[in-house]
This record gives sequence, structure tokens and C-alpha cells, in this order.
Amino acid sequence: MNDSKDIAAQKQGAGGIALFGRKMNFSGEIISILIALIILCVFFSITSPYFLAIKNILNFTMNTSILGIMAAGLFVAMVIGEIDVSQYAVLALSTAIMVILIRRGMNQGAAIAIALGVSLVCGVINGVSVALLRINPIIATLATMMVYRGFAFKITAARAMGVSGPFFSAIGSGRILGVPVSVYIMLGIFLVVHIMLSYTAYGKRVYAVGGNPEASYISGINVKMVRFWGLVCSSATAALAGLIFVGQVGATVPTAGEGGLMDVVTAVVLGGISLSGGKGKVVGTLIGVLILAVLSNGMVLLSVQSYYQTIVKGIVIFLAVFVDSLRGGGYK
Amino acid sequence: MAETSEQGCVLEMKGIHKSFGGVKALEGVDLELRCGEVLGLVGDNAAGKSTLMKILTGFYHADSGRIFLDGKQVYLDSPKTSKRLGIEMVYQNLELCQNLNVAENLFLGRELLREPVFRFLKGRQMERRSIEILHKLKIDIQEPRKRVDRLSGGQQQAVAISKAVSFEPKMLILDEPTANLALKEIGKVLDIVLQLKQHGIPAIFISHRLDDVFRVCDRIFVLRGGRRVALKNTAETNHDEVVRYMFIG
Repeated sequence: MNDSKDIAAQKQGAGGIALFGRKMNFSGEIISILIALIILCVFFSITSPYFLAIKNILNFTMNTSILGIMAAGLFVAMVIGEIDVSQYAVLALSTAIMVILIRRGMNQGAAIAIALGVSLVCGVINGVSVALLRINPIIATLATMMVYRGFAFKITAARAMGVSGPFFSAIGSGRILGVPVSVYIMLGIFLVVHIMLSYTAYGKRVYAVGGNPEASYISGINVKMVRFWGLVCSSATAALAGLIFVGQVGATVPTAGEGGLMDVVTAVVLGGISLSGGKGKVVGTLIGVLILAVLSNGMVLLSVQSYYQTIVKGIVIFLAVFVDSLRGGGYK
Repeated sequence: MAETSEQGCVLEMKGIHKSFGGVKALEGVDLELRCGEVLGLVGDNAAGKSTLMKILTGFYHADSGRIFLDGKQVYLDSPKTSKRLGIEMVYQNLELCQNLNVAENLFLGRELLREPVFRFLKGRQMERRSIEILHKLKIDIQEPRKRVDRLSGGQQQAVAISKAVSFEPKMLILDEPTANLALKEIGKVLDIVLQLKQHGIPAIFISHRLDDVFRVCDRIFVLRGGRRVALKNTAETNHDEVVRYMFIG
């Protein structure tokens, strides 16, 4: 294994980063995207004097924590070989219910618990559709996305609804040692996912089912339940991201994430996961999230028109999927 | 390892019939597997080998007939039941997860856990046990952390057989274990099959390669058109005779 990493390192021609990657037990793909992130950072730091400003870095990492938390959850579903495009709709619905309940006088803790419960129900619906009924995951979650989004519009009358309180202020704009609380939460969730996938039986089964569902079944694994919990995990992180969204925006917004349907998927794919499942490390997804954040922030700093930003994002998605296809994870 | 029935047979299949619509796949097949022997199961394509083994592994249900394990009649209604009763099968297409390492594959579905709630793994212990399991069959893989897709075809087959053996089965079914392997690798896999015999694990060895069958099997069972056409001691027959049974009768 070390030999292949050596070769990967030589190919990259970036000894220092490769050595760091080897020390961290990173695969060739992770080292590659880490280099891509560094190149992007170097480019934007040369082209914009504001890019490396601490305030700018903290701002864009804070803004990306919502996407990052959902990407950590989606990563689990995608390693299993599934996909979930309903996360932003789950975020919209769960936060809408939470905010409405708080505005009607419910205790914030109880309302937050209900929001998490709603996300779990959404996850169960997605899980049953995909794992038990074996509906194509893109179609199934696209359909449930429309349903969840529709409910969010209905109960909010398609309006943003404000809410405030110390809890939301703390997770939305609070800082510890100068670093936004939301960044700590995002990193904490990445750590939990990493530990779950690397050191628990469920984690090994996630990779097994993604790599070879037949072999997993023959080995006595309940493949359906592994898939089911992967989808539930994806929805649960959407609700957690929703709490931070409400904290940062100060309101629930039924249209939240409508323009960024594929952003989370892009971040996970950029992170070196295989679309056919079974491969990828969650640290790669974290780097993928940061690449998207740096790209978006850099283009804003360079005053790139939003149309071009959309084009660039589209090209990034295409390239990420194309690279996955070259690695053998393409459409079959 | 395997217990014997009064007749010295671990497995007895009697009068097995199976039809798919109007097609008769098996017609009254009787098969016995003796304690500690390797029984070669040969036949042309569509002879009924797969159907017979799928009945034994619980994937298909026989239309009629009886199955005895250690002299007791059993009802193999699902793959789970079959596995629980000690029938393990190593599949032709290597049912391993290529993206997992050797130890993870060997313990897949029955991981050693530190505690039951979060189900944290005993990683080191699984690796140590993996080496023991591999050494039992004299398989020379020293790195249990090596990913299976980085092993040769023969090594992968060896891991698959070890995995089946580690369940301490009553019997093994080896489905074309030497198919798609290089000559050198075939020899190593056959050595492992002979090791099974030394450990007293009875096995049914399915293969199209008669050289392999003659090297490791004690008896050869020939199926043709869903019927048992011959059962010969390996020492008392030859290639030509077996081929004749397989294709002519």
C-alpha cells in the first residue's frame, strides 16, 4: 500500500504534500485533491489581496459549514452506492416546522427535537423508498424533495419566518477562540462520521455493501438495513445543518438551497468518492467542501459575474464525475 | 471437525427432483458426501450441478426428495438456514469485497466487537485471528491489512476458502475454485483443497477441469441431463471414462 502511495506522490511531483499525505495515511486521490485545493488557494491569494485575510477565511468557512455538515451525511449514503438530493428540502421543512412551533410559544429545545424528528421521518421515507422498495435513489429523493419542499412552502405560506434566541445566535454567529461555532460543529460531525466508518461494524458494512452487495448479503449482512440507515443519516445531517442555517440567517426560508441542488453532491464527488459506491474517505469530502468554498469565495472576490460562477460550478461537477468515471466508477 | 452419521456420510441427498416450468432440471438425484472426503461434481453445462448446489445452499427448494445432515433430516428453506446448519459455499465469482482488506473480508458480518452499543471493532484481534485462520490452511498471506483487490486471483480464492472454513462448517462446496486462474495459482488452490482433507473437512468440488478433479477428489459424481449417471472412485476410473459419462452415457 505504501508503494502505491510512493508512486502517487512521485506522480504529483509534490514531495512535501505527498509526504504529509503518507504520514496521514491518505490515498493518492486525497493527496491529489489536497494539491488542487492548495493550487486554488495560491491562485486566489495572488489574484485577490483579500483572500488570505483571516476575516475572509473565517467568513467563508462559516458559510460553508451548512454545506459541509450535509456533505458528511451524504457521504455515508454515497459510499453505500446511493444518493440523496432531498437534503436541502429536508432542511427547509424541518426548520420551517421548528420555527413555526417556536413562534407559537413552544420551548426551543422541544421544537429543535421535533425538527430533528421530522428529518428522521424524512430519512425513513427516503430509506424505505430506496432500500426496501428499490426505487432509483435519484428519482426517489427527487420526488421526496418536491414533497418536502412543497410542505415547507405550504406551512410557511412561502414566506421567510424569523426567529431568534441565544442558542441560534451562538451556533449562527458565535465564536470560540475566534473560530465560528458552526465550523466546530461541522468538524465535529466529520469526526463522528470518520470514527463511525473507520472503527465500527456499521462503517465496515457501509463500505462492504457499497463495494459488493451480493458478497455482503452472502456474509449475512442485512444489506437493506445498511442502505436504509445511510439514507436516514443523510437526512439527519440536513436537520443539523438547518439549525445552523436558522442561526446564521435568523429565519427559516422555504426556498433554502433551491439553487444549489447539486452542491452537496459535487462536494462529495470532488472529495474522491466513487459514484458506484464502496470507495472514498470522509476527509476527502471535507477537502471537497473546502474546494467549493474557496472557488465560490475566490470568484466573488474577483467580481466574476454570477452567470460565469454557475458555469464554472457546472464544469467542476462535470470534471469531478469524469475523473470518477476514469477511475472506474462511471455509469454502468 | 465434521460429525459422521451411522453410514459415515455427512450429507445425504435422496431422490431430489426439481423442475422449472416444463423443464426437468433434476430427476431423482441421490448424492452422498462421506466424512473427510472431497467429492468431485462434474457434468456438462445444464447438467444440473448448479441447481443441485442451490438446493443444498437453500437458494432453491426441491420439488421432492430428502436431505440428511449427520443422519438427521433437514429442511433447507433459505441460505441462512443452510449456513446455520454448517453448509458453506465458496462461489465461482469470488464473493469477496474487493474494497476491503483481508481481515475485514474474513470477519465480514461477524465482526469482533469491543462493546454492543456503538459496535466498535476489535481491529487488532481480527487481524491476529485472520493470520491464524490463513495459517491453518498454510496460506502465505502475511498482511491482513492488505486490500483484497491487491492480491492475485489465487490468493483471493485462498481468502474466500479460508473465510468459509473459519465458520467451522460441516461441509464445504467449492464452485469452480480454479476457474480463471494461472497454472501456478491453480496448484496453490488445489493444495489448499488437500489441506481441507487433512483437517477432515468434507467438500464437494465442482469443476470443468478434470485434471484438478482427479488431483484432489476421492470420488467423482457425474450428472447428465439432471440425472446421476456415474459415481466412481477416482482411483478406479480415468479421464476418458468420466468424459464418456459426461457427454455420451
